[in-house]
Amino acid sequence: MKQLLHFPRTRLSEGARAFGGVTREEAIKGALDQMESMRGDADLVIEKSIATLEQIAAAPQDGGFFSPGQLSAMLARCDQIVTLAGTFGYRALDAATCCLCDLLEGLRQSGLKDIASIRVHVRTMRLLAPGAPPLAAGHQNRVLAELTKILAHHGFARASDMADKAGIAS
Amino acid sequence: MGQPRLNLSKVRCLLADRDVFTRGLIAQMLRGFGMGTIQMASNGEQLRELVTKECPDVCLIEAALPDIEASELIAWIRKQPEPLRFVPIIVLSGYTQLRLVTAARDAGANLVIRKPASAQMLFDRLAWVANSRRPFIENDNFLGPDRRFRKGPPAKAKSRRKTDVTGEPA
Repeated sequence: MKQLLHFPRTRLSEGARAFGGVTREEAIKGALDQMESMRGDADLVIEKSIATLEQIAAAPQDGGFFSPGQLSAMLARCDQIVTLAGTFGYRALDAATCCLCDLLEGLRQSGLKDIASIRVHVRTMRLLAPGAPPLAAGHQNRVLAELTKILAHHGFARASDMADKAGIAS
Repeated sequence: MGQPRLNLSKVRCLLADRDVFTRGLIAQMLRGFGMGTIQMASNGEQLRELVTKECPDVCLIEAALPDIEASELIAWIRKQPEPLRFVPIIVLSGYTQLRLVTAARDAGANLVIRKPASAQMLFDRLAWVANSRRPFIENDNFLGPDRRFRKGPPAKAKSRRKTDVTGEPA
């Protein structure tokens, strides 16, 4: 099999050698300043997404369980919440939402219909949302530990474990 | 000697993510890094159009856009004429999309980052892509950056290549 090796020069690599620019410290400070201005809007988006999840969780459409479209819509909302919660430091909400993602993915793949577990996760997310009365760290940990027990009960895998195995940067 | 600097003021970045708020958030980070131009797409069709028209210097693509997976888009970009085919591509994977990242890497992505991407991580990865001298490999089955970029011998595997013995990169 013929194989060619290229060593392309890109404008990005030229930027690494160009005069001027920013140091790592300056770049990160600049980025954090820019992002902080979005925190208020991010809180609103999280609130809206949790409300959407609550609406879906309250009204299964497919013979007593959620339709594939509803499951996909829930996963999309969860993905958004994980991104925002992780970015703005809402660790407990991030952990609860990741648990819900794993649960939804597991239920989708296994064909199991466990509505109650989904609702428990959504309620937990409401408890941990920005603006909710803060829970003591001990209580937060206990709640999150209970959520992971649900996953263990069903024997569902965690996407984060798979990512670690694949060596994906996080 | 001062800290190394990265000058992104002339770099054009194409950012594709389905979620408008996430796009805004990552764009703010990139602006904080001093990125010259940031163009945004919310789906594969828009991305193809912008890639062809604007010839970006770096692409950040979500692992699954609403109409297409990143792996398909990357394979398409790698088939375009130079210099586009060598454009650095970073895939951003949401928590629920982690199952798709192996395909993205095998399609020729330079790096995969798990969302939420912190400012530190995003800057470090951009700097790494800018500074690394990874060759592009072109053969019948693959066009993309060499996937064997870790230095050192393979872990727990029988060495098959001469260079594996010394641990030197191939």
